[in-house]
Amino acid sequence: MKELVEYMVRSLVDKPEEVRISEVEKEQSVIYEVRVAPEDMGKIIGRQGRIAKAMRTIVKAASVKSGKKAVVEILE
Amino acid sequence: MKRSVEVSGKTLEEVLERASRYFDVPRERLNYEIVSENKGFLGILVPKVVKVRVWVEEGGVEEEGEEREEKRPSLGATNLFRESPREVPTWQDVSDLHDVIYRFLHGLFERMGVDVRVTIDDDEEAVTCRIEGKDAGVLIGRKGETLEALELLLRTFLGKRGLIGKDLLLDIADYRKRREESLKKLAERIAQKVVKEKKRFKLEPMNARERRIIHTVLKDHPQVVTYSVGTEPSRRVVVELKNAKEGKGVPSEVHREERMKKPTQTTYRRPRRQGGKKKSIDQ
Repeated sequence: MKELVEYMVRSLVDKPEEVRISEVEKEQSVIYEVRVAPEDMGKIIGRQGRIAKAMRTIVKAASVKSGKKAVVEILE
Repeated sequence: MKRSVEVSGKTLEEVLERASRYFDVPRERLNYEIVSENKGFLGILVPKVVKVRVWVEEGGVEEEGEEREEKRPSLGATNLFRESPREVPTWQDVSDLHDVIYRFLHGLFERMGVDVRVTIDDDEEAVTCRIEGKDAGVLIGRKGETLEALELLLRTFLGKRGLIGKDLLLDIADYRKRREESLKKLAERIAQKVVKEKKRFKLEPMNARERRIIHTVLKDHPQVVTYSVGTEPSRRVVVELKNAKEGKGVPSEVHREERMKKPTQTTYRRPRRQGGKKKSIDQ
């Protein structure tokens, strides 16, 4: 799942080398914390959060198979 | 401006040899990027072909790449994230666009752990990607929301690289086609009902594309008009009798606004970085 988040984020930013994803395990869920270069923030959030929402939807679809709830958080 | 060509050949060596003659520069000054590689199938059936994009940096001295691809061997489609294909027109030929889309989606589905097939078609107006297979349902999602998400992601990915000038359509297991059919039927049914009961009728919330299907079907209907109310994501189509009540008639206005409500693209372009991650022959 982490690979999926990383893949999507990298495909959208100008500085893929500055993408950092960390995984935080919780009891019922896994949180993926996304960090990108400040100038890339807008690109992964999108107008009215559309891109971020799309990524979350895709992660949610993928997590149906893994069983554990996956949460994507974008950090500054 | 950089000059660049795409060359195909049996081996990388052979291709670079020819490119070096073509550009008339020593091979050390060539930069290249493997566009596609056919490893050969059963040795005989499909010949081995490697397609390479080659260019010469006008300044002659190649910048030292600060990031080499071996840094992330786990991601197969490294090529996709390499330097901007945008300034290289040859990248945009059709087979390459297909190749880029195919690799992007394939990489995505692989990481999602879903098992599907992708076929890509295009005509003058649109590029259509069809996805089928046993996990297609997972990729459609509730009311097609995952499908919409995938399409947006693909569109953004291609748009960022300046790869697509025409419409892009993603369909999974004919979901859109089936949905369009049922929306058309729904529109006809509702129109009949409105005429019969002389009442206006509000449909359930739909996205812009779906609302548009309703508007289009009933556009020339002699007795009803359509318009939309509310804001996304709960914007809904209303169907009512034509000339229901004079003076109350904002409908045509609203309808026009609806049609013009094409999203305004926020342009966000920053100058592209030069150099950086290009492969050069003397690596």
